[in-house]
This record gives sequence, structure tokens and C-alpha cells, in this order.
Amino acid sequence: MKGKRHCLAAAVFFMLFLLPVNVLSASGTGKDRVYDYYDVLNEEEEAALNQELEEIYDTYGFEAVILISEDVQKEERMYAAEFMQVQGVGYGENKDGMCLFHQPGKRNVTIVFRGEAQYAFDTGIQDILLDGCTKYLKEDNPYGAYQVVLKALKGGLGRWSLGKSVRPMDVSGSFAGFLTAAFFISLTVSAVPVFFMTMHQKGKMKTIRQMPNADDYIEKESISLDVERDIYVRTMTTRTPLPKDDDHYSSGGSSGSFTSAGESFSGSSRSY
Amino acid sequence: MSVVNYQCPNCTAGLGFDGKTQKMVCEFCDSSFTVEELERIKEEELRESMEEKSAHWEGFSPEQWMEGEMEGMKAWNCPSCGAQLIAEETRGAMKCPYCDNPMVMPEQFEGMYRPDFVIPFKKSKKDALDALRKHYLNKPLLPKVFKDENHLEEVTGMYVPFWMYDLKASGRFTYEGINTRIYQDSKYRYTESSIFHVTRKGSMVFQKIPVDGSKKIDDTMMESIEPFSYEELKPFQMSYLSGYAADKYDMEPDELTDRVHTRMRSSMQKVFTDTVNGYGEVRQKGADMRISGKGDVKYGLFPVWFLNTKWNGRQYAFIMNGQTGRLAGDLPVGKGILVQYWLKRHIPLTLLLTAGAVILRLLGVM
Repeated sequence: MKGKRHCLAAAVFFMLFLLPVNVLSASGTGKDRVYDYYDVLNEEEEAALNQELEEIYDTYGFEAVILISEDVQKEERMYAAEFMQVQGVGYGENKDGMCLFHQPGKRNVTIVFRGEAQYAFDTGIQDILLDGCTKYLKEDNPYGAYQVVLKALKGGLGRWSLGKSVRPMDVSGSFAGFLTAAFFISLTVSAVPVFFMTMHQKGKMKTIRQMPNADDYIEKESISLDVERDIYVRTMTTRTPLPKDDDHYSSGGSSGSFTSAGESFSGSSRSY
Repeated sequence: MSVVNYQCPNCTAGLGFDGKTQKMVCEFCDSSFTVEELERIKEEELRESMEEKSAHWEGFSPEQWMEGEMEGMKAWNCPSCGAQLIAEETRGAMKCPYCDNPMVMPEQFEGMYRPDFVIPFKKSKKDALDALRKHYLNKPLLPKVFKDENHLEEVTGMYVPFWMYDLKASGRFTYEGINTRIYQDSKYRYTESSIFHVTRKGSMVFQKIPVDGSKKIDDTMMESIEPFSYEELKPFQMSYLSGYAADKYDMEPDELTDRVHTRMRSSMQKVFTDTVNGYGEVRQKGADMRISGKGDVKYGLFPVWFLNTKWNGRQYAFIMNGQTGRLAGDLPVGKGILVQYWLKRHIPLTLLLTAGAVILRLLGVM
């Protein structure tokens, strides 16, 4: 039993720290940027994602990686940050980079930014990236989920590279899709006041109504309250358990800045 | 007012009833007839008259009133022009349509039918027509053609018979008053409900609750133009009726108490429930209302203008309180207009909200 444990620890140590990766390569060409330890992707999908990540690196000087593993029994954002540090993910003086960390078994996805990118891609932008991603993960389409994140990332990087701030619309998919959603939501919301306006006008057309009471005919000062009695009967108490706090290792929705080994990161994690 | 005359078939002089012979006797020719004989002669004369007329005219075959056809109707003779008018047997006043002479039939208001009060008309026919025109305004769902084309068929000022009830009611109402407190600790949320049994008992007096005493007038319509101001209630005098139509009641007070009691119960419930204070939630558990003592009921005539219009083959009735000017009457809703009204508001509002969302997105807020 002890022997097995030692083997397992060694395997994890090997996987995390000694896997042959091209760390901090200046040109970045040919470097694997997809770490699929859960066998979620086939060879073609992995190659396609690698290609896209390579293009992002070449175009924007920004290093992004995708890490897929089993439950690491650790806070996800912290783990992703440590992975980036150990693997040297991040380019340039500021080490601008991103890690998309997916734990399929735990149904959790995390995104962490390093360097100046953590300020450009703040938690609001991160939420939008995760929104797009979790939609596909719920449909058991991780490849589609990763592609959505990379597409949105490219949209944000395009703007950031011009020295402008990254806006939600830069990362949230097509404008046509937004417009359609906005139209149908507006159609539904505006129906409410229009309904009340129409009912009010319709009500004005009907003026033949029964009088509901005889209030106009109550003789003044004739109301006499002979018995006014309030008696306490009993008290009933019911209790409902409060929802439990999130587990230390799970993060149903944690996000924000944090530090790892003295370096600051920004990340968001979500269960789906 | 109707008058009945008996004439001698021989000389047309007047006949008088002779108590000794028990026959109708002519003062001039001393002919005598029993009442039955007179009726037979009259029928025969009528039949001969009809036959003579039929001999001159094609298709002249006037019908006689069948039994029951005149039920509910009565014939009156105009004292000014002599025209014979047929009207409901409850009619107490009207205008002769031939000579416009105001007619009052005093016997309709005699004895038990004499009203105690009357509220005189304050609003004129012109006021009624103006009110009707004003009623059409600011009604975007009203078809325009209705305003332009509706044909005013009848405008009648009528004194409507009302019963006014003075009643004292006592009631006992029970409630459950609940106060709720919510608090929590690290594990649970606690909801603490303190329950109270609440009782209210008392009485109140209602004065002159009106209910119309005419079968043919819709009670809901009459309630729609309430209230009448009793400050202008006057002791009844026949002269108030002149120039207007008037009906006497044909429903007894006992037949109308259900509606009165329903309105009283609703008022009493509200008044007593308003005295239950200091609870987050109040639920009524029981309600018992009784009329205490003998009530008092008075009979009055209240002024109402009736306006009947016709449009698109349908009758539309409007009524106006002849004292306060309050008008009521249902108007038609144009279905196409309703849809247009909806779309004219829904579409622009939708476009406005969508444009707002797009602007917010461009600004980076969304």
C-alpha cells in the first residue's frame, strides 16, 4: 500500500513538474499548449487547438494554454496559477498569459490571467468567457467550449493590442446574436406596460358597475365597537437549514485577484 | 286620464243605473237595458262597423286585443287633445307625444303608492346630451364611426321609484392576527409566528340605502349613477313630476333586501377589519351580521335621464343622474382599434428598449 502511494506521488510530481515542455521559449514555435491529462480530446482536436494557440502567440505575443485534468483536490485558480508559474506560461517582461483549466470529472472550469492581462481581462470579462464556455461543456462538447474561449480571447486581444480596454462586446460573441436576444427580451418586457395601458383604456369603456358597498350611507358617529378583544393563542417556530458554504476544493463561482508565490493573478472559476 | 261613458243605443243620450230595476235607463226615451244587453249591443255595433269598413277596404281586418296582450299596459286619454295613449300600467306621468302636453296621473301615486320624497331634476335635457358627448371623449378604443354615426333615438327624463332603507346592523367578526419574526444562526433560519385570536363586535346605522323599485329598470345601471345627494330631498309634491315621465314602484321593499344586506355586509366588514391593527397578517375567520330592530323604509322618486342610441344594429343605453350629472353607459370597443392601439405602443417601446440595449453594449456596460 505504501509503495503504491509513493508511485502515485512520483507520477503526479512527474506530470506536474517534469513533463517535457518547452518552457519560456522565446519564439514559442512548436510548443505544446494543450495539456490533456483526461483524454478529452482526440489528436485532431488537440492539434487544431494547439495551432490556434500558436497563432495567438504569434499574432498578439500572448501565451495561452489549456489544461485538462482530473480533480486536483486543490483550489482551482491557485492550481492554475502555480501551473503557469511552473510551466513558465506567459510572454514578455510582464509574463502576459492565460490558463484555461478544465476538470471534467469535477465539472469545473477555471480561467486565470497573468501579467498585465489580468487587468485587461477583469472578472467581468472572465465571467463572459466562462458563460460561453460552460454552455458547451453542459452539452458535453469540451472542444466546442475551448474554441469559444479562444475566439472570444482573440476578440479581446485584438482590442487590447491597440491599447484599448477590452469591452464585454469584444468577447461575447456575435453582435447579431446579441441584437436578436435584446430584441426578444425588449418585446417581452415592453408587453407588460402596454398590457396595463390597454386594460386601463378598456376599463374606461365599461361604466355600468354595481356599487360594492354602502359606505356612502353610513350614518356619521353611528359606528359602535362594543367588543375589541385580542387574545394571544400560541407561537409556532419552524426552521430550515441554511445552504452549506462551498467546499474548500470546489468553487461554484469564485473570482477575483489573488497571489501565488508573491505574484498577482486574476481568475474566475465555475462549476457547471 | 281615462274616462268611461255609457250611451243609449236608441237615442245616444246618457244612461243611468236604476237601483230599483237593476237596469241602465235612458233619461230621454225611457228605454231600459241590462248591462249584459248593453255589452252585446256594443259588440254587435262594433262588428257591423268592422264589416262596413271591410266592404270598402281591401285587407281591412283589424285585430282585437287578445286576452293577456294588454297585460301590464294601460290606456290614458290626454286631457288636452283627447288622444288615447297606451303606456305601462306603472306609468305615473308622461308627455303627450301629439301635443307635448305634460300629463300626470295622480291616481298612480295615491294611497300606498304616494311617494314620501322626491329629488327634483337639476340637470336639463341639454345637460344630458352634453354629458353623453363628453362621455365619448378620451376613449381611444371607441370606433370613430360610433361617435359620428350613432343615432340618438330617445332622450327621456324620468322619475325612477326608489326604496330608501334605514337599517341598523350589528356584527361579530373574528380574525387571526399573525406576527412573524425571522432570525438565523450558523445552521438554520428560524421563522417564529405569534398567533392571536381577534374579535370585533359592534353595530352601525345605515341611512337611506337606495334600491330602485322598478322591475324593468336594471339595478346595476341605477347603482352606477349613485350617489344621489339627500340634501336636496324634498317632501313629495305632484307638481315636480310635470314635464317628465314617472313610474310607480312594482317591487315591494321585502323583495329587494338581499341586495341591501349584501352592501351593508361589505361596508361593515371593511369598517371592522380596519380596526384590527398591529399585525403583519390578518385573516378573517368568521363573520356574522344581523339587522337589529325594525328598519324604516321610505319611498322616493329620483331623477334620471335615459338616453338610448342605436349603432350598427345594436342598442346602447346610457343613463345620467338627473341631480348630479353622473353618466354611465357601456361603449363598444372596436376590435381592430384595440389591436392597433396595442401595436402602436408595443412596437415603438420594443424598438426603444432594443436601441437602449445596443447603446449600453457599445458603451461597454453590457
